[in-house]
Amino acid sequence: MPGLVAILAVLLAAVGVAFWSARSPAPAPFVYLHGQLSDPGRGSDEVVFRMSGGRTFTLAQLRALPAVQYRATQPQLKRSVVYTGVPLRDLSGLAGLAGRSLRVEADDQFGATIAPQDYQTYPVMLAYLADGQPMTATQKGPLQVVFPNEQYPRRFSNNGSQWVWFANGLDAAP
Amino acid sequence: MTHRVNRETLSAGLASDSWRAASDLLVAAIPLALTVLLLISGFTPILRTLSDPYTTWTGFAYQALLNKVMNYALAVQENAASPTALVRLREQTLSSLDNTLEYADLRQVEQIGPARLSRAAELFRAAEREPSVALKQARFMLAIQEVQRLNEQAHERIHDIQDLHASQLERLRLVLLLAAALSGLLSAALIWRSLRLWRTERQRLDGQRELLSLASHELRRPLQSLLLATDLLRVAQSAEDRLRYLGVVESSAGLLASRANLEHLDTMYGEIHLDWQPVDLVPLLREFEGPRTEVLVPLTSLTVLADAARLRQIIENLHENALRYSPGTVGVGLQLLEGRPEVWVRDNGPGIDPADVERLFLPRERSDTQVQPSAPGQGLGLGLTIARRLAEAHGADLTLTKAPGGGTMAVLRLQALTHAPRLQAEPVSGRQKRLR
Repeated sequence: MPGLVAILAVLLAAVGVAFWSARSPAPAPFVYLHGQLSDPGRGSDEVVFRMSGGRTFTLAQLRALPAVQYRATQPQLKRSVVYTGVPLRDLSGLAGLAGRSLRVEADDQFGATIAPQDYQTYPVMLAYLADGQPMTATQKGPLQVVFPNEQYPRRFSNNGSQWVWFANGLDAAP
Repeated sequence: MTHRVNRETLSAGLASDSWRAASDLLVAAIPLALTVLLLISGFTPILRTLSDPYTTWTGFAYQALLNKVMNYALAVQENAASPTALVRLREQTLSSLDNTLEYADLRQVEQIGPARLSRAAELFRAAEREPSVALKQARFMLAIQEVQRLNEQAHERIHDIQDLHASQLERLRLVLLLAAALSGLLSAALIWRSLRLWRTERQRLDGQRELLSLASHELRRPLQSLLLATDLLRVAQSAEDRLRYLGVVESSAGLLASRANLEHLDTMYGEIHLDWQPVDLVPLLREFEGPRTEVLVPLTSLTVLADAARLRQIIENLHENALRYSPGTVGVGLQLLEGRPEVWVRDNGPGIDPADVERLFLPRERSDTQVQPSAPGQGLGLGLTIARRLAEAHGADLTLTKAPGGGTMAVLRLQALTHAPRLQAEPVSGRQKRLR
């Protein structure tokens, strides 16, 4: 009898572990498309992104930062697109906000808070290319926060309100 | 060959034991499994509804569209924004006006009232195309009103969804209540069943123990006679004495043999089975004559239908009690009263309190007024219990009364002689009439 109870307990534990691991697969390490490229300088380009501490970026400057690339489904357009952009983890480091909750602001006064356990662990990005092309306003560009919802569907299936379109700034969440 | 067969039997027994253990565990796990099953089957659809992104939206997309249209109309009216900024505002507004996928439940929202997203887009474009500044504002106003109505419809839809969620929560409560009731009910049933089994088993064991006590009580007397007779036999001087003691040895051994059948305890002291036969009471009672016992019987014989051995056991117990708990002489007698033969055993002890009489027939009860037994530790207070049980099996009454002139008188009223044969056909069950 104690043997059977032990077997049952082990089985339950195995089922539990399988269940939890199925719920949240271990995140893979970030895979970069390229590292830091030489800074193109500001030139006469328009500043498209501002961070707390006064740091600003033109589109060309953002493109020179280390980049990630993956396929994700835009929740409002319901289209699967290969996005390219800067990981929020790196941007938060540049802004001196690594490990803090981030507030990403948009041109239309929209905003969303992104938790460190999301952007530090998963390659959440500030995307500037969709399928290799700059994003138009119709595509919710030129800058948009993108989550890896095809790689980690369980974690990012229901967070459409965090996909900040027309993104234009980053600050620490209060 | 035998060895192999034994080994096979043994392994089959072990296999069936482990299977029984496994099946017990499975039966015990039934409440758990049913509760989990009910919770999962109840929770899954509820959870699906509550976590569906299309049923948990907030209506922000509709509000954001209104903001964009109004901001753009304001920028156009005030003419303050730079051309680049104006273009960006216009593109952002159109990106939301033209993207139906941005709005949760748009089809359902549009079914609630007259407002349509496509009409808002048309009105917005018409306003943009309007060359007259005065009319342009009026046309933007129409577009804004259309989006406002769409917003109102979206809020109604959200209320519907809130109602749906409330009903799901009600259902959730019901599922939880059902699960709790089910597991509680099953646990209660299992506990009740276990307690009942435990109690039944305990009663059975108590019954068994009582029967064993009665049997051991009844073995003690012939055993003592046997030991005494063998001791006396060893020192007997004459052939006549030796013959007499041998007779005692023989009869005691016979009694032991008849009372030592422990496999049939129940028929001996529980559901008593009697071996009915004509028994002459006169010689039976004469056997009790002794140094402290006076037997008063008629000269003629008095025959009844009874089980001779059991009838003897009854009188033995009454006689033994009388000897043990009183000093002096004990009387054993026989009389016929109203056609019923009565055997009586009388002592001259302190007598018993009438209030104690029924209690004395219970196992292990002794009278407070009884003098201490001559041999301490002997007698377990079972003699009267056995005597009454055997008497009832005979259809006889056994009573204890105060004897006229002091002492206790035990009276065994046997069935009337004419009634006795009926008893042969329908023996009275001792257990059914057992006093408790």
